[in-house]
Amino acid sequence: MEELPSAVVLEILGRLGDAGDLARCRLACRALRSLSYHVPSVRLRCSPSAAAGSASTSASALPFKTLALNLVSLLAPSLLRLSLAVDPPSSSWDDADLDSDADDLHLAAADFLSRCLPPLAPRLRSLALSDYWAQSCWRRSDALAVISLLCNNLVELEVRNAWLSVNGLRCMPKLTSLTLEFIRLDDENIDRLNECFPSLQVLNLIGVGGLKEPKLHLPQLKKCRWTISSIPLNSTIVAPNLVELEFTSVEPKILILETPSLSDLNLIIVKPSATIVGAEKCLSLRNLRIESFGIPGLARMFGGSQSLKRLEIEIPRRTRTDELYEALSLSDLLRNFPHLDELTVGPEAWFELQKPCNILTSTGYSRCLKKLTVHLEPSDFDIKFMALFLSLCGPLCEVTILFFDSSEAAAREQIVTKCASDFPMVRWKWGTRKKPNRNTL
Amino acid sequence: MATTGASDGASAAKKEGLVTLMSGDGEIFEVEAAAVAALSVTIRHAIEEGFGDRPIPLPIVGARALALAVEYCRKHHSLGGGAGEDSAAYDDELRAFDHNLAKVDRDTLFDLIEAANYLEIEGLLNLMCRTVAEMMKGKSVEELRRTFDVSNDYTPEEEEEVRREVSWALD
Repeated sequence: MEELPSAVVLEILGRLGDAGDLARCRLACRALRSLSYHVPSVRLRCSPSAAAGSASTSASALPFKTLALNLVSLLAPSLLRLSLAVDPPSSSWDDADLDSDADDLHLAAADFLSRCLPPLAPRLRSLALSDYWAQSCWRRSDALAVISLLCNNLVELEVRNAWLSVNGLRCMPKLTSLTLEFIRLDDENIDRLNECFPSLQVLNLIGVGGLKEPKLHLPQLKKCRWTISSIPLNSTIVAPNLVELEFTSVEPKILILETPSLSDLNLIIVKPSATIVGAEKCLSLRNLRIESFGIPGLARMFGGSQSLKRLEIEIPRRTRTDELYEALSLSDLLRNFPHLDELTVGPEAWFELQKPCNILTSTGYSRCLKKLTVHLEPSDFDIKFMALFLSLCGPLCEVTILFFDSSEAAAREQIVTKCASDFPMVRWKWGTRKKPNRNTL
Repeated sequence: MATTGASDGASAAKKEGLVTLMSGDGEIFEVEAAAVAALSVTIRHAIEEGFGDRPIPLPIVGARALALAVEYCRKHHSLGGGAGEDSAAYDDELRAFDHNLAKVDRDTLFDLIEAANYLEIEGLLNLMCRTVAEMMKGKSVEELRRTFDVSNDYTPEEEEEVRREVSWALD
């Protein structure tokens, strides 16, 4: 390593990210020490239990905020990206131990940021703060005001686990990417957010609470992930350049889309009571994924789409004896989308489609599918149903079957052999996928 | 890599579309010009400067590292170029290739970094720097010194001072 050019070693140290690893490199030798002061990005994290432990046992241990301030002043000349994070408490952490008066880990505190950011602020491109909810939830923070006052060149901002006010928030015309996750935001209709972040291209709003009638109005927005907590809301997205949207909600009332450029839409709407206004005006929509108990109703709202090429359907995981709100019928589904090339069916949707009452009827759809992808458990495979399914596909259709990698190899092998011998004309592809970790809504 | 075909240097007739590279330890490689020129800035410039007919000398790059670097260029040129309809399958294959390449031993890893840096193969340099950074994560100071063959050049007093400065990061 000592023979490598400094620029390359710096490149390596820059990828290290973690401040602890970087600190240990400093102690390894002089060369690494001097280079460590020139890294462009660093992440400092702390676990709340460690903070509590160090405070009581060792007098020499520095509190997290002091450590962060020292680090920032050491690296200020080169730092472009800073991430400060308190790890979420482990499950063994007892809430009763929490001291609501303590704010030693409250990273979004305005007074802390006012001391921490000035040496870096003019150059800083990216800032990520992951606060400690047990302390931040009691305190409304003016972090956004401080950040927008100091960090004029910030391009990317992430804030997690905090209560944020928009008082004093100034316009940040250079900011193109914003992530707010598990945030209580005092901007109930998102008016200030729209006003102060006019150049946003990427927006992630994950579990942002405190909203009433949120209306995103962002002319530059290209990519958006919006996950809404369980309270039903009317949500509006006005974004003429939006290409990619993932919208997750248990039970929204109305979702209004004014997104004429939208090409990829992933809708995870558990309960089927939602109305999507403007679905028929998404004239650029090519890829649609629906994960819902109410697939037929949601699909009808996009029905007749001339542009849609790929459709993926899945039903949220449930006990399989639960009834759906509306039977899922493949022929009804496909009738909505005359120009569909590719269909992907998730394991729960596949199980549902196989039910005798949902078996397709042979009229009303054309044999046009070029690609069919099915994710399934080997135990859910039924060769007769596969035969019916294949009658939907075009003559040269490519069929991909993806098993979960946890399934038994012997069971998979049996299906592969059976399909290849029963349907030799089909172009089969086989694979395995990791079983997804579903985020519980 | 078997397909790289290090020849004895006495290659007579110049084949169309090939370029000859000479490693620092004198081995000759005949490789597809398009593949290496697409990924290596250094070789692209050498070809543009008219080195196409003569072996391009690469003084600081050893034969083993050069063979791996050429293999990298070849693979990424043939699979990574087009965003065809099978791009997802290509991505998987490229990922698997990169993953395997990153499993080389430490000395080869550093040789490969030097080679990628000299040949200006950005993707390979990124891959290898990422690999080394991954290896450094979570290691103690002694492990870092041992794993990466760096010697402690601090005086005891200096070391004590630095140790105090970074004490929060030591177990």
